[in-house]
Amino acid sequence: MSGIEELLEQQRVEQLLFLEAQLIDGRRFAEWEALWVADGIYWVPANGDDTDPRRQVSLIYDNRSRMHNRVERYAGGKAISQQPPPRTAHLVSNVTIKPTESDEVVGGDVSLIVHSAVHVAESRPGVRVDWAGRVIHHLVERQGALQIVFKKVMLVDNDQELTTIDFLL
Amino acid sequence: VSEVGDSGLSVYERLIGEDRVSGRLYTDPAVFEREMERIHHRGWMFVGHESELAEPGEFVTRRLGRQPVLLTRDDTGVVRLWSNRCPHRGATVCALDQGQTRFFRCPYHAWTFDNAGALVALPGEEGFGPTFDRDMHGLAPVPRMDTYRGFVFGSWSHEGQTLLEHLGDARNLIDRACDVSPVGEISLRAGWLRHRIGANWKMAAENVCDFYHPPITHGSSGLMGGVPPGYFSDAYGGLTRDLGGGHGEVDYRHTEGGSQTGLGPHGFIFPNLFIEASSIFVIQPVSVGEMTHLQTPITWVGLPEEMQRPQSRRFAMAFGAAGVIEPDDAATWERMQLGLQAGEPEWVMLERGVQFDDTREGRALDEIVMRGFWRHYRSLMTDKAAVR
Repeated sequence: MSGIEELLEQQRVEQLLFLEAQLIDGRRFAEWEALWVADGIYWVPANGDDTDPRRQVSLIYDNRSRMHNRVERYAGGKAISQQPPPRTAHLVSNVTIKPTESDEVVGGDVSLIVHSAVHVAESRPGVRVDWAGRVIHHLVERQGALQIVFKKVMLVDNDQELTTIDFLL
Repeated sequence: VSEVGDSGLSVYERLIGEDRVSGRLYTDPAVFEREMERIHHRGWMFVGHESELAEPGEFVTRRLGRQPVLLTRDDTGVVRLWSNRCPHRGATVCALDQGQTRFFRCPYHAWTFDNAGALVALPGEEGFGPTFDRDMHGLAPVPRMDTYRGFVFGSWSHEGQTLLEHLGDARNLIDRACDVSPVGEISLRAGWLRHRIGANWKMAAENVCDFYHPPITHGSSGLMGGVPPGYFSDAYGGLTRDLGGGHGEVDYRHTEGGSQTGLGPHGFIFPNLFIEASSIFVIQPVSVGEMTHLQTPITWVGLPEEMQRPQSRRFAMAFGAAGVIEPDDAATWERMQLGLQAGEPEWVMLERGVQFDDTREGRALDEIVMRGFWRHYRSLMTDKAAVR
């Protein structure tokens, strides 16, 4: 890949991550869901970054139907913890594209592995929390667009006592 | 210091009625201090499970009341409970939540203890003189530790009722949780989610057997579809039972949908353990307005994987700081903590089903277990024998 192509790919990936952050902060959940492939996995491990999600507890380990259930709950207006909804601002940085043959490929159908860092400022009544972590996205090319296959958010304090996380990281 | 903490024991008789309690019991720091002294730093409390330390040398650190403790299995297989505190100058000897080790070394002067608590090495020992006795400087055991079917309990008091006396009729809850397994054993090795909540610990305790709230508080969770229609109503036929000693349960075994919400019992063991069908919760007080709610899924030894899987899926979806059930409970308790800052009206009402108190068994939505909790609480807070 030429230098120009690399630059374009970097920008394309960054734009997807920035868009995802904006959709989350804007509570545009249907559009957020549309970024995902049908068998996507959204994972926020607990008690370390490299746990086995089938044997160890996770903060979040969602397949697509659970993701849908989660955002439906956010949008539904019935959840007590969403009255009012938390306000968030996601700052995405340190975006790096990794060679797909390199490390943590979970499924066969992955075009790009992207590492980044996220800082989320959260506000709800009486509470102001800063969340931070490293993030891994697995992306796949589908009909000319990048879609999310897998997203893992490794919070820096995932081994500590945590306050409620009732928003998308 | 407020009037509640200073004045005589009879104040608690006034603050805790048969069908109501004063809102100050959730908001006054002096009440919290007295609770720590008379409940959490005196009576039996759940601290962990033997399966968390299945191998020799495995350990976990916890708090027993507000005090840091270290639960170990030594090289010979014996489970022991220690103050997590160097007997020299007081630093914690273990900084990790869990792990496996033969030795604990204090970071300050490298006093080193084996996993049976003995001081086995320290630099410059000769400088302490010929009378220095290592045996006098081992880790300090928590005064009492006992286990029931793998559930480990500790008490900071050297005397008082035995664990079996404390558990009383609540032993049955532990039995039923274990006996889901064909070999009568559970395992808690999936790790704990630890949720910090801005509310008084008693709100979590009272919530355990509150079957009035789920369809409302958890209406958004998507999990209500998993229970039969009308499940959370008196008419469905579930029972709520005061087990004495502050313990209690909700029992649906005899109803049509009895097995549909989980495999084990649903009950509270005073003051900090909640057995929720297929999960274990621990209520950890932090301050008058803060608690940590620890939660882990149960694995039943020998039970086929396909019977366990729906339960562990349910846990993953529902619980922890990012679950679809737990945040709504937390938000509700935090709203209560805010609301109770209003001193008027004085009372929190717990009157539902009071006509059944004589039998200690009420309808599913009755507040009978809460009243049992408060009766036991009042007896501890006013126990004249406990005044030192």
